[in-house]
Amino acid sequence: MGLTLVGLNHRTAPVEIRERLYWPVAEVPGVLQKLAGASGARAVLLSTCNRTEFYLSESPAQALEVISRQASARLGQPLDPYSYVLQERQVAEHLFRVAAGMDSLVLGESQVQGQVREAWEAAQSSADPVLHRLFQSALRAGGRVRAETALGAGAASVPSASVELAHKIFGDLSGRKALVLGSGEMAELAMGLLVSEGVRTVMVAHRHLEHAAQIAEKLGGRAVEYDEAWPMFGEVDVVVTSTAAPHAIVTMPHVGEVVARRGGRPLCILDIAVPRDVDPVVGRLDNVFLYDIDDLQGVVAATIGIRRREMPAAERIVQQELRHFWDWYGGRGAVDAIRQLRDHAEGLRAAELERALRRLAHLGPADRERVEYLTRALMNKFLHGPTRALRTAAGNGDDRELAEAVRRLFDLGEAPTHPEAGPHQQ
Amino acid sequence: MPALAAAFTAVVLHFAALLAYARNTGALPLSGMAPALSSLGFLVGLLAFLVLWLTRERAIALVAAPLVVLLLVAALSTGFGSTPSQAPTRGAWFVLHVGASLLGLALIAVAFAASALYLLQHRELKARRFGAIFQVFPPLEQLDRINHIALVLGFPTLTLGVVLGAGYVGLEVGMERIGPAHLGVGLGAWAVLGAMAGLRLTGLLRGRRAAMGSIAGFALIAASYTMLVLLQHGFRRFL
Repeated sequence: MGLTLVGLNHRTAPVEIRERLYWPVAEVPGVLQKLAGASGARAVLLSTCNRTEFYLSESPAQALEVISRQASARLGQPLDPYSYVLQERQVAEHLFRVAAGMDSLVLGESQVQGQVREAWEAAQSSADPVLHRLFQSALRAGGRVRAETALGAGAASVPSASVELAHKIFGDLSGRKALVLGSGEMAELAMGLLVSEGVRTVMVAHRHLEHAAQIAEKLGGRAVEYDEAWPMFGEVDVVVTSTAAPHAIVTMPHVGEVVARRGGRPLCILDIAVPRDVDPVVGRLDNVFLYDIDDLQGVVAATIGIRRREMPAAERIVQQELRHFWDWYGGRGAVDAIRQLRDHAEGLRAAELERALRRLAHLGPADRERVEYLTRALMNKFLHGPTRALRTAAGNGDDRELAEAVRRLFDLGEAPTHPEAGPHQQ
Repeated sequence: MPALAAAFTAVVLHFAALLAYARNTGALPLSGMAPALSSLGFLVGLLAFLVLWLTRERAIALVAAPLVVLLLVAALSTGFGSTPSQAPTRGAWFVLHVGASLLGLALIAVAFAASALYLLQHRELKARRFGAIFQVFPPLEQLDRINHIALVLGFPTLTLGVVLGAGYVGLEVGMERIGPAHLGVGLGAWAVLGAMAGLRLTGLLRGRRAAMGSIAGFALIAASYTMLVLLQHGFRRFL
């Protein structure tokens, strides 16, 4: 069995299945050891919130059964309805696309590149040279796609859209001041991202001061009374609102006068609440940039549109890298087989020549040389056909079966193994 | 970055052309309408390249490049043939006066370019449109900063040009040879830029208003110079 992939992802399995089949990276070496013990398989396990995939190379056929059994036991139900199996070139193509973010739930997301690297590193002792090379090539393909296309450009989630909007207004966010009104997971995520981008002073206002203090602690900010928030609209650069209020709480009477005194400094208000917290009239004030959840989703949609347009360029890079890998992978079997075949033939030729020359002791040096030349020429003629066939097959990527056939026909034994650098030996 | 390389190549080629002109005519490309316009185009291109290099924001070229092309088309349509000069001398005073004035004007042109981008990006952000302009144009504050720097640097440069112009007129030409329109436009441009720079420095003008002011100031100066070029004749003809 050559390169094989068995797994499931966000397209084939719902989240309740994926979460049960998720292995944290710390558990991965143990899983792979168990698999190797049960089937002798050399494998890499890529397990993220959106996919769990076993990559196998030169593994015995029962490896798939072992994986299916283990996964089904973990799931508490059969794996088969949710899983897919890919073979050979499809495996490499799939992994290259995964590493490039082309197979992700959010097209072009960059986190998966790190997850692929982690999976490879966790399989340092269980992966064989083919898998090492496969993952190296996939990471290179992913890196190139990110560097040479805009597949990873822009904001692809509501929190990152918040950051992008703030960036489009302020540029560098270092040292900017922000205010959070209310609580909510999305608002906290958005503010967390803004803080990671350099937003310094964060004030948190909540109807319950203790709740504000909890959020402020998480963000490294300061809790303030709810009524203290209004004058802050004159000081801060970014406001994120996410309260559970049933109607708009940020209205002209609250902030109109304060905002007018900003002297033309822009104010970015990100209203993530539904129903909205900010009266749309506030957004008409000069230099106030007000965005609600629909606008943020609009930014995400625009980004995804741009990323989709980058797909052909990304696909070209993946195909280039795939060709490089496949030249190596395919040629590897052919080269080994050709070398084995020639060594074998040369051994036979040398032995037969020696025996013949012992019987032809009366021949002079010139005649002996002629006989030797004859044996060498015959050997080359005999080997020319198989060698050419193997090279052609390698070029088409289907040399593995032919190489195996040559080994069996000429009794060449097993294919040799190749030592190659793992993730920590580069 | 291909945009940076292209801009660098354009600026270098333009500089080489100006050098070739100077070598062929034995004079700096400052005297005469076409050489001066070409030099102004070169300075606008050079400053736009510097902005591009420092900020990596390619959008500045969207305004700067057409502006440079416009200046070059104007220069080519005017013609690079030898301009008969009735001025008594065209020595160091003149060269420095025109050089500083052109640099001041080029800085105003950069402020104009940044302001045009600012207003477009501002409109998109206010209208909550997230298309090509939103994606490609630089952040508002960055454009405002470019406008601020260009105006604040432009004013002392143009002031130097005006002072040197006064020295040139007083010492080498004589007041009677300079038309009132020439004086009016020169001092008018200086006053407009001075007002803008002052308001920016004091913080009274920023953001959208500064952008609109810069565009209005640039338009006023450009229109005044054009009128001057079209209406004046002889030595009184500008440049």
